Amino acid sequence: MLPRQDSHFGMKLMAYICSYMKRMRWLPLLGLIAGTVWAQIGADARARALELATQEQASSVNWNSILWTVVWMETILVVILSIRLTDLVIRITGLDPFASWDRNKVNTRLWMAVGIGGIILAIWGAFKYAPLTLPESASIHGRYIDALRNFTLSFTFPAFVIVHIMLFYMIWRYYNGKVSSATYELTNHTLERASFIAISIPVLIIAGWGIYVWNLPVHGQRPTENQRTLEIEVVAEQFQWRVRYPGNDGKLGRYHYTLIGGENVLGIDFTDPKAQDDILPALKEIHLPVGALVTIYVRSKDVLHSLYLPHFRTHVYAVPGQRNQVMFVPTITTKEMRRKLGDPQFDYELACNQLCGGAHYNMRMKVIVESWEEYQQWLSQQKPAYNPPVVTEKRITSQIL
Amino acid sequence: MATHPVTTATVVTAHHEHHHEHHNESFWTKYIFSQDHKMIAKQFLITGFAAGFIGILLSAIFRLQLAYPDVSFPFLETILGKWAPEGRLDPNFYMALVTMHGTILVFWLLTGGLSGTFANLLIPLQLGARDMASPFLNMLSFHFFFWGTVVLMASFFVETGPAAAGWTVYPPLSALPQAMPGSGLGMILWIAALVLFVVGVLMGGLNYITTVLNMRTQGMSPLRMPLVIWALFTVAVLGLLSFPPAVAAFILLLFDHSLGTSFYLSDIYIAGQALPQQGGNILLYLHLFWFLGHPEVYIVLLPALGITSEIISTHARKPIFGYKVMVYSILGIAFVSFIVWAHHMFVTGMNPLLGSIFTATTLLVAIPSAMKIFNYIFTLWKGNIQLNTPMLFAIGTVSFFISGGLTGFFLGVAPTDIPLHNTYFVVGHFHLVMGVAAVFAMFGGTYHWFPRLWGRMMNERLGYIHFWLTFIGANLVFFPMYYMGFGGVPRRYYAFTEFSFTSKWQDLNVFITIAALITISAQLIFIYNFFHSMFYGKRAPRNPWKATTLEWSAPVEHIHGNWPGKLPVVHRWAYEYSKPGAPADFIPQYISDEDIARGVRWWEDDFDPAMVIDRSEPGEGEQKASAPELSPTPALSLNQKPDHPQV
Repeated sequence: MLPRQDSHFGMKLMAYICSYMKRMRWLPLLGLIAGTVWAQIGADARARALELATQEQASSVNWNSILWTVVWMETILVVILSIRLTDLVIRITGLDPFASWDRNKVNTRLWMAVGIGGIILAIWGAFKYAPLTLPESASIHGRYIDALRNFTLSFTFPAFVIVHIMLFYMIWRYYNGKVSSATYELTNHTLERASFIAISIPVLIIAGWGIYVWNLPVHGQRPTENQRTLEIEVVAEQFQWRVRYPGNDGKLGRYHYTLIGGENVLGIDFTDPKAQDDILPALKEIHLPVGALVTIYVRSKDVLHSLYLPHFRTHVYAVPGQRNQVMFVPTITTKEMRRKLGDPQFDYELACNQLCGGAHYNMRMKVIVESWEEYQQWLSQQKPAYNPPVVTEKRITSQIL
Repeated sequence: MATHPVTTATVVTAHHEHHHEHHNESFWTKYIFSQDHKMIAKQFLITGFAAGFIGILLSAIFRLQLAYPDVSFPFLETILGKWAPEGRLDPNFYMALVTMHGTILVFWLLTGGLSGTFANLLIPLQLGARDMASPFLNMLSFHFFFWGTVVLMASFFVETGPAAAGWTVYPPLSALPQAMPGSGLGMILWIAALVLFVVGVLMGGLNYITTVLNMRTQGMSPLRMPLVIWALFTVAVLGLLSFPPAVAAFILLLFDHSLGTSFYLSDIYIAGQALPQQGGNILLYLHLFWFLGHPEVYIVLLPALGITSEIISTHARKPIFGYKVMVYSILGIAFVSFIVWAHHMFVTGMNPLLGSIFTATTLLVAIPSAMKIFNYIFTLWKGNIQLNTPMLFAIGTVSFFISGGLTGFFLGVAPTDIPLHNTYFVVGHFHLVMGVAAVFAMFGGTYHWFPRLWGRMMNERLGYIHFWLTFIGANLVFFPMYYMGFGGVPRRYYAFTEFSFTSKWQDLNVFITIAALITISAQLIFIYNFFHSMFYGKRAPRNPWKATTLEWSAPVEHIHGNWPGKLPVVHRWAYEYSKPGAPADFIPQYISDEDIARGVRWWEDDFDPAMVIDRSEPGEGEQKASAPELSPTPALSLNQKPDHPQV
């Protein structure tokens, strides 16, 4: 602390500020230089981006940016000065408004306020945002996943609260000021054993349950008696989805990526009789009959994508060169889901969930679940992709060329 | 009985030589090509923080985009040029920002910056060694790290932009320049930067392992080592085992990218052309990458938890609870981390049988992790908690580790991972559990060891403001992401406007962005505090936190060889706090029972540890308990450095 001498406090303060300003005089200058450079970069960049500016326009100075930068630098100067000023006032007057604050007590109170407040906020948020989370699962295996998820949540959320309260309690109970010494305690086997058991039991339950559920959706499903089955193919590319339905034979035909081209967007091998009745719907929609065991074969034409059907709790990567397969049984039709949610605009959606490029965020496809009759009616309106004369002609043309 | 090799006469000579040497150092040998581990630690710290600050500034830009996808920000065009035409961020550049943010923060800040700083600073000082086993290799380690940083940053300035395929750089997106602009030269620079970085990490890691195994001072048996040394040692081993496969993966990716091989590529039709590559598979890359990627999480986390152990024990004035359990937990986590990598791949189409196996192994990690959390809480129990800035950050780390770690139960179990994979649930999870938890430990470590590095204290009040703003802000940023994850909102989306199940989260995104901008601004307080305290901070006493470990017994001056005289001899373990009957609430490791009986007053601010260290003679018991003291001669003579005391 500086001694309080006979000279005026105000004079001293001014002298100090002046000396400090003198030391910081480079800052506005630096602001000016930085602003000019920045403006220059900005002008060049704009010229290049718009590709219509001449060299003269590109080199014109952007005063707005200079002003902006100077203001920014001055703001920093003011902040630094005010910190120094507060410091100085405290040092000269000896009147530190925070001097009486016990840092342990203040920080403990902050821990209590922030900690308890945070936990309440987390619970409040869970209730507030619950309506925005995914609605009930629209597939059979999804219900098992949701049950496990809810169980895990019923363990982790209380654990989150309890362990945090333990942590905050320790701070509140044992901060220096409330206590003055610590206990020399190296370990406690009972506590260690209790912690070990407390964590091992949920680990065992969740792992066992998880392995059981895991075997349902991917490779554990067989059609039950009288259950209809449907095999479709979904193909990803930058940046859209395409879907292929089997024709009357219920089988998808062969494909090869080298056959892609022209109208044959999926590389279907039309020499395969099973391929000749395959259907490529015109609209970007997937129609699924409710209650049927749906198998989706997923492949990709170019980069890694991911078939993400959040409402059906179904998710698998689309890997170029590898045909992945995923099975699920849709249980709720779109109409029924709209009624349940009270949202007439609701639609099931297919999203891409593996970074695939700039428009990754925009790979949307609508999924419509409907009754078997409606599905059949829709399917009958679609035309097979195989169009012999056109394809043959194209092939011959390309061979000649 | 072997006599201690350092005699009083040589001590004086050695000291004199130091003094002499010290003045002859030029700027280049002292600050740039330094072989002194303390200076290298400072280099890592400042480079890591600088890179990290750039990384979080990138996140400010893409958070603006996520909150206001329809708003034009003209200043973005000023700073980004063609990547933000008319103030609207380009989607490809958005991906580049996300990629570089991840790369910089995971590798540069939290691997290079965190391990590099604290391993270099603490391993020799806490073990009582003159320097690393090979100071020259140590210098190279930083220089590779630094040039890796330069190459990575240079990729911002290439015409097609930096790498943009996510920090995991999955092929074929990263391997095909026609798939996105960032996969051109930017990708090659990314790989080059990563290879330089890994070379640096491996050089450092070899050094850390050798130093910990061979250069512990007398009496420093493994179970007397501070936990942070255990963590850093384990992490060096992890890095040595896991980074080389990743480099192999990156090199093969480079071949696919530039030489037309097909390790990962097959059956690709892109940009109107069918590529000739056949037979490769992306799952190979995923396996190789995540074989690094998962241990990498613990390469980040274990040093953070080690630092937290030191800080919590010191500032709670209480021995760390269950030291052996903590050591076994570190080793357990390290082992298990190698057999869990495929939990990142549950929905990639790998054999479903593996899903069951990796579910089981993944959940095993919860056990040692939870044991560590419980032990931190039990350390605070019946403690005498001093809520200094480092302690606040350490408690913050524990809190984030709880909030983030528990949600691993959803992601580590294959079926519940199906709807949550690659959603904001994952983003929230890893940002809390390894992102901010480790960053907080790094902040805590910086506040704690700042007096050891620069001999000055950081400003406590600014530290409190920094902590509370960052703690509240980081929670407000990342906790709501869990809610979004339950809503199925996918990550790496340029905008959430296109899907009805994502667009309804727009309000929350605005909230997150505002919280993020405030949190990022709060870091300016830290930067000011850091640099201001470096030059104008309050002078620190020798042992400001009254800690027991050896680093506080060495003078803070820039001395090669750390201790001007003899090396300290260790008589006790690292956590002798509040021992009943002791004259102070801490007993440093170099204080023997005879010293206590003699009436040495080590708790006073003007106590000079050299008085104890230089007069110590190793006792019979100590000689046996210790690893054979490799006085630094053999290792250092390889290095031909005259400035280490030759004994």
